[in-house]
Amino acid sequence: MPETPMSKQSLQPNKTEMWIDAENVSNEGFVHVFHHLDKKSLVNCILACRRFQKLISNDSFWVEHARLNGTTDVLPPLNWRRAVTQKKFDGNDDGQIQVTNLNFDMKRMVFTGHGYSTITPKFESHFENARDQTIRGVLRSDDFLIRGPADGIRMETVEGHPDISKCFAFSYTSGAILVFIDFVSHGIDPWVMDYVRPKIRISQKVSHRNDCSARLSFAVQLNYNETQWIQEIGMRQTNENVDQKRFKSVNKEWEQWSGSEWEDWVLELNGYPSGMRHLTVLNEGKDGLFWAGHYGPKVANIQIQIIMPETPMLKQLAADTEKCREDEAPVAVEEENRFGFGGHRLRLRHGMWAVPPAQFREMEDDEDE
Amino acid sequence: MVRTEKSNKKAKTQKVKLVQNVPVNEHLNRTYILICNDGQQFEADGHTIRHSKVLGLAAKNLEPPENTIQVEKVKGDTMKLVLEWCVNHKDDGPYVSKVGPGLRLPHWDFRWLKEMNNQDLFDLITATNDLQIKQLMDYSCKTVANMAKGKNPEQLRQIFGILTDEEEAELALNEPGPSNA
Repeated sequence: MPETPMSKQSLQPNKTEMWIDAENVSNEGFVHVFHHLDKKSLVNCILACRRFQKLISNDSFWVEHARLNGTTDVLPPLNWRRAVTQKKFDGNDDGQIQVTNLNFDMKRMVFTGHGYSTITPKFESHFENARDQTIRGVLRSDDFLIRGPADGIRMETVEGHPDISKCFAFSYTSGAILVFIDFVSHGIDPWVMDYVRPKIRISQKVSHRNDCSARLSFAVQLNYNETQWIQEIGMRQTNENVDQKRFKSVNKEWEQWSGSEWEDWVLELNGYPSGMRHLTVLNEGKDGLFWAGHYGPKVANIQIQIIMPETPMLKQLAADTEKCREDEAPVAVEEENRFGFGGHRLRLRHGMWAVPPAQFREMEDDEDE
Repeated sequence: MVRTEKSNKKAKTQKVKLVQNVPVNEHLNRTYILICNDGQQFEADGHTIRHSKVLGLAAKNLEPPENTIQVEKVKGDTMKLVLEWCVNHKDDGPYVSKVGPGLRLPHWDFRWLKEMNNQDLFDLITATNDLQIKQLMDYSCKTVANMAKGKNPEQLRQIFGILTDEEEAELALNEPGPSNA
C-alpha cells in the first residue's frame, strides 16, 4: 500500500506556520510585494531562496524600484542605460573595446542611494554630536577626515541664505576637511572610469569673515587607491604650474575688510587617465591673523557630480602621464613637527599620506617668522 | 480688447468643445455586467468600476445597449472582493501612488485586508495587477510587506513553504514513486 506523501508542513514541525505556498503565487505577485519592502527585508528575501534572489537581482527590478521610490537620479541617463542593454556605443566601430560584459550595477546604485546622483558628503551629524558643534583633533571615517587643530573646526548655522544652512569654519592654524569618494562602492562601474571617463565636477560655497583676513586651499585628486594623497603631484603643480588631469587646485587669500559674500568655487576633472577609482577632495584653511576662535574661512555645500557625456560612447584606454612612485607604494613614516601634532605628514589608514599642497606654502611662511 | 476675426473663431470653437464634454463621461452612470472566468457574474455601475483602468477602458469602448464585460483573468470570488473595495471607494478623489513609509492605509482598508485570508490576499494582488487598480494593489502589497517585515530568511522560507535543496531532496526520497511500489 502506497504511503501518503509527506507534506511540506510536516517536515518543519514546531516552526512558523505557512501562510501560502509560494508555488501558488506568480513571480509578478512577489515582485509587487518586494517593491514595498525596506532594504533589510529585501536582503532577507534575497537570502531566503534562489527564486527570490533571481527576481530581486535583475536590473529591471531596481530600475522600477528607483522609479517607485522617486530616486531615479541615482541611475545613469536613459540613453546610456539603453546603450548598455543593446551593447551599442559610439566610438567603437572597429570593435576594439569588448562590450559584451559591460553592465551597470543597478542594484548597488539604488540600494546604496548613490550611483550617478550628486554626491553630498554628510558629516553634519558628527559636528552635531561634538561639544559646541566643533571638532577638535582628528576625526576620520571611510568617507572623510576632519583635522581640527587650534580651536578646531566649527559647524555654524547660516541665516538668510536660500541654498546654505550649515557651514564649516576654520580656526587660526591650518585645519583640513578631506572627503574620500570610492567610485565603485558608490555604484560607478570600473569600465565607466576606464572607457568613458566622465567629467567630474566638484563644487562648493566659500566665504570668510569681513573682520579678519583668511586663506583657503581647495584641491581635488583622482587616485588608484583609497584616500591616497600624492605629495609629488601636488608639488608639481605648486612648483611648475602644469595643467594636470588628475589634480586641480585653487588657493585664495582674502584681506581684512574685503567683504564676506558667499562665492561659488568649482573644480572640474576631465580628460584624466584610465584606472582612477578614488577621489579625494581637500579643503584646508586658516585665518590670517592668528586669532583665537573661528575667524578663518568657511566652506559649505561640498558637492561632487559625475557628468556622463551626452552621447553614449567609449574611448580607448588612456595612459597616465602623471603616474609617479607614490601611486605604487605609499610609504608610512611618522614625523612629529614642533607643535607635537602629527606634523606636516598626516598618517591615514593603511600607511598612506595626506600632504596637501598648501602645507608647503605654510612651511615657507613659518620660516619667515 | 479688440475683437478680431481670429478671436471670434476661437470663441466659437471653445463653445463647441464644452458641449462635447458631456457625453465623454456618460459611461460612468451606466450599469455593466462583469463575467468572470469561472462564469460568475456581477453587476456594477461605471462609477464603481472606474478605479480599474482596464474595466474603465472596456466600459468606455462599449456602445450602448451593450453592457457586458468579459473579465477573463479574474475568478468570481476574487472579483467579489475587488467590487467590495471599489464600492467602499466609490467617491474617492484621485490617488497618487506611493511606496515606502509614506504609504498609509485608511482604517477600513487596513482592517479589511488584515482579516482577509492569505490565499485571497495574494489572489487580490494578482487581480489588482491585471485590472490595473493601483491603489488597491499598493494597499494589498503593503499589507503583505508588513507581514514579511522583520522576518529572517529561515522564517520567510517557512511562511512561503519554500524548501531548501536538502529538504526537497528528503521529500523526493520519501514520496512513493514507481520504483517504490
